[in-house]
Amino acid sequence: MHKYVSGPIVAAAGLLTLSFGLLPRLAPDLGAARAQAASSTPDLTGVWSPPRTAKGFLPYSFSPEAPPPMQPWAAKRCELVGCGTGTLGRANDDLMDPYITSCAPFGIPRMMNHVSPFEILQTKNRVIMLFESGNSIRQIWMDGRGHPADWDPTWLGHSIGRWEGETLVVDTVGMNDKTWLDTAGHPHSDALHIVERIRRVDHETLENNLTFEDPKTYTKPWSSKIIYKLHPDWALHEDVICEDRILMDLKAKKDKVYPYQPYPMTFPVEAIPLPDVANAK
Amino acid sequence: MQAKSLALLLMLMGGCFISAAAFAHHGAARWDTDAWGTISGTVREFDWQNPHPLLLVDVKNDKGVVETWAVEFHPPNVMNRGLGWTHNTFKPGDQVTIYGHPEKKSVPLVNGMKSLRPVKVTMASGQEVTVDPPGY
Repeated sequence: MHKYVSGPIVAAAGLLTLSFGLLPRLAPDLGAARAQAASSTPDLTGVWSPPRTAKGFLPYSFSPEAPPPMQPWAAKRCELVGCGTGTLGRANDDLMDPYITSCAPFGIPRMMNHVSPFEILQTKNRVIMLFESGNSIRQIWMDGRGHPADWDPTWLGHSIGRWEGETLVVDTVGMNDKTWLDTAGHPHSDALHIVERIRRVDHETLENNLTFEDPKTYTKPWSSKIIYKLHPDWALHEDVICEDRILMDLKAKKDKVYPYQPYPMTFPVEAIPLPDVANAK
Repeated sequence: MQAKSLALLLMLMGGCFISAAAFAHHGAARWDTDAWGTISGTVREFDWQNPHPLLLVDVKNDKGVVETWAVEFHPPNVMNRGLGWTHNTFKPGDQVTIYGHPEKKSVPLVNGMKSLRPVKVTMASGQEVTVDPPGY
């Protein structure tokens, strides 16, 4: 089991030390360890999540200190949702959160700052992120391809990556505009372009520096930093979004009653502001 | 029977939707965190579900009438990792006591079902459990 960057080297050294009596049996492993050490691809694998503070539920906002540079429609929408506070607790939050009202996936980048854990796997051509929330899969293509020209927007978008030394640089486009940027409620459009620089600052800690570029929503690019802590003993759980509604529906069918029940929430009277296409650059 | 099922179903629907969303993420809006309350009663049902496990408890009120209360907890993955809870943590018929924050008086009841934001639960075994796992 490799630890991160220096792991293979340590492992190879350990095997050499132990090799006298064991060499014939361990020879293939030793070769693999040497190969990995030579390629020196950083190892980001593991189960990660943002650390909880004493108050829990943090971080929720990609911009907790000050509002990001928003277009007018976005600022108005943020005022309605309360995303500037970063603390939530306002009544409108839940009533406007597509995850709660409509069982929408968090999507990218919101998944990257939610408290739910995610696991990183690495293959030859991909870095794969498995998110516990909704058991979603994010594939980051590492084979040198670009973004497709005719990509249909999706919840998680299209991600390509490359290594810059110890840092995984991920470029993502192609998200739809149906998700929130973060749990605080910052908006984004389908023009969102994200660059993430992810590196392991120590064995237990991953750091992600994100830059958001979305001229329909923000007047200039802005950045955020988030850290994740390793959970060596965790395995991802099954996580079905809106399972409560599914179970309720199944109960209704079992009881042979299937009443139409309008969604019992009262939505804010104000219309939710949408991107002003005319102002988009 | 049919009507009774329907009534329960509607109560469940309301309970799931409203209180799930309210407890869910942000919490403070629905609950009077300065006030404390206790309910004791019999477990009617325990739904081990996302986003919030739902415990229905039959509680006798001051007039001797049984009311069903809806109590929700942190998501199953949090309760499992933090406290080892599973779908078997509560069984129908269990006697439980729940201590926590009541709803604000300004919040309308959902289909007549009262709710409490739990802080401590005395389990059927008599064990007292703080339902915010460490780090929460």
